Amino acid sequence: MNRVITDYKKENRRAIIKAIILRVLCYSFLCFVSVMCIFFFYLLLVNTTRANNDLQGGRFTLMLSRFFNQNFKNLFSKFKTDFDALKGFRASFVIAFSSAVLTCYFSALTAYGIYAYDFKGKRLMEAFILAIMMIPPQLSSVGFFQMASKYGLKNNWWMLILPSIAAPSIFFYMIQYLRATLPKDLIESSRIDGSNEFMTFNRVVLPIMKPALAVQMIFAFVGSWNNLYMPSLLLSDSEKKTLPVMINALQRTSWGNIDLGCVYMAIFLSILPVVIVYLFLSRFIIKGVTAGSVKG
Amino acid sequence: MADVVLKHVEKIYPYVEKKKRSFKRSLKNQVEEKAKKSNLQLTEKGVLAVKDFNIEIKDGEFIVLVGPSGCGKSTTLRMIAGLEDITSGELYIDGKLCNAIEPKDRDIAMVFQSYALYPHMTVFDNIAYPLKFVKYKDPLPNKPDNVRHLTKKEIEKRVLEAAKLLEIEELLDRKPKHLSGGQRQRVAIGRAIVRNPKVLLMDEPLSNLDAKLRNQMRAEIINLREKIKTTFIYVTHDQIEAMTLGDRIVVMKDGIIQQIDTPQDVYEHPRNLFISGFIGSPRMNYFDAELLIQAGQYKVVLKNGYTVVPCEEKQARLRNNHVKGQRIILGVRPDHIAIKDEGIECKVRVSELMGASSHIHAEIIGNDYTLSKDASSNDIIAIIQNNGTYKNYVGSILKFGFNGNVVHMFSKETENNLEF
Repeated sequence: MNRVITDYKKENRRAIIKAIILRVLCYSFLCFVSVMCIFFFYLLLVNTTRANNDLQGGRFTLMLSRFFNQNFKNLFSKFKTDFDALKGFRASFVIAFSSAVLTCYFSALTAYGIYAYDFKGKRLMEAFILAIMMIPPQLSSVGFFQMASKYGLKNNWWMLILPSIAAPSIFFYMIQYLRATLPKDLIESSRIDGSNEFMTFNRVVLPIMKPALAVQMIFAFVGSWNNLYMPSLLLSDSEKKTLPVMINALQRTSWGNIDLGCVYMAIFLSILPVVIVYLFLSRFIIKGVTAGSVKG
Repeated sequence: MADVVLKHVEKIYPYVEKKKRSFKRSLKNQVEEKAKKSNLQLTEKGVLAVKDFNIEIKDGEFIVLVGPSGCGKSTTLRMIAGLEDITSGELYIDGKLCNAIEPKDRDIAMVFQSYALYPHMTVFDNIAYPLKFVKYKDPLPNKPDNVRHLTKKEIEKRVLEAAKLLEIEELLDRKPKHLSGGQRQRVAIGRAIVRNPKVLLMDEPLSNLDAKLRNQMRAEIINLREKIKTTFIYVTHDQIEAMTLGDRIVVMKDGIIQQIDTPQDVYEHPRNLFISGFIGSPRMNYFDAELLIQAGQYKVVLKNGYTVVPCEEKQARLRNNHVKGQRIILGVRPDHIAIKDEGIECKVRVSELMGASSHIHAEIIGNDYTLSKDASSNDIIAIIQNNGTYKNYVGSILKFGFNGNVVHMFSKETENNLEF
């Protein structure tokens, strides 16, 4: 009897040690990934506090320096013509906000249309939209640029806002969310209650999709805010440039007398709103990402 | 209130393209094999869900569509609501042809099985939702055709009236997720009646509730019916709901109406074997028997020689139908079977005390002349009134008999009641 108890204890101890090792490994890996994620932001912060000479020297350090204020002042005095922060923020905000709102609304509307209605070619249409996800935007950018040039729509923000309405990845998320959370009875009930189709979407479906809309709006906003490729192709007027385009210009035009401290400061300022949004809404984002994944 | 008329209404779900091609390839095999495997009726156009549905529902009548799963009762209701297209036939609501009219313009309301409450709205907003779309004529001196929506005050007044009727006034500020099943059901009913619809449709509204709450809500629907004057069309698979609620019952099977009658008539005079088995609990007992004509009189003889002479009313019906002597299926309801001196000899296996009565399951001794169509064994089920004293008959050998006025005679070939 005693032997059995001893064996059981040994077995139990082994299982506990195994679980502890596994947990340590898991947490180590997660810590590593977290450090990797934060590392670049920290490095950016360090570089904003370092002087240009120090940065030009190429010495790598993780220690904060004391040139933060200096870099900030330099950015707004020396590079006033290349980097107009207020105009850049305004352009980035208008484009990012408008495209985030429009892309989420129209993606939800498209997803609702395909989810709620039965019509011929419905599956084909869904497959087609998803297939568009496979095409990189760079592929169509040449044609798009030519079209914008031909119709004199370069330097027009609408050329950046309107095409983003068609976002297959957001559509895909929305339709999955609808399938998991929206019973068709609700739509039918609304129809019988006297509502027309558009009101049903706006008054019943959209409020139910709030978590999905919120999270996708944040992602779309950040995506558009950080977008460099299309804005740098289309926006050449300094009055209309977005922040990433300005930072890019800052690097190129000031190559002779480049101030890396100022460049890092500009990058730091440009990501600041996004970081704040993430910090405040992280819980909401996680909730929105997982919402609808489990039926119930 | 409005009358609802359905004339030769049919619903066929067309095949999707892939199936259509394969259907054309092997039409005969498809029809024969698939129809055998399931209760689906396949046609060249598609799957037949409802076939030749005809009914005239009067103003203020309470009609219950009842039948097993997949019999087309919900499809019929959805066609009346406008949520499903009608493949062929005509639907009239209040004398108006409604086939192509949108659900919102039919002036109907519907209570769904899942309640279908809007989760982001409070109870008040849920009930008020249909009122936001109500328009009515409000002639002004300079605009005789003026049409307007209800004002906020009018909406509030009507919501409070509905809430009072359903006793949910204290729940008006809550969201649906904070309500119990019964409360949600009341809110769903409130939302349906607040608009005073011409027709109130209910699609298995009580099936998500537990047994006790279901009984309570059933009684409340009966009360509600007294208070609001509207035409009710109610779908259920629960025969007790059908029997207790309906002015008339429509029994359906495989998309076809089997019988339209009052609950009492459906129970007492089932048109065919299916109805006799579907309506009534416990199930009807079936016996293999022979219908004989002796000296101009019909007699039913069971295998052990037990003979029953149908009552004069039944005799007359059989004579009118020129029914010949034949092998039949004899049906007798458990409440019509009694312990007698002469009858079928059985050994009691189980006795269930139900309160005022007992359900007795007894195995027939000697010969297997019950039909095991619905029964799991060679048993007779009888309901015996206890009259204040419960006697446990388990193990006893008893003789069970029945009178000629309670027997139901079904043709073995067609399974139809020979009296009709």
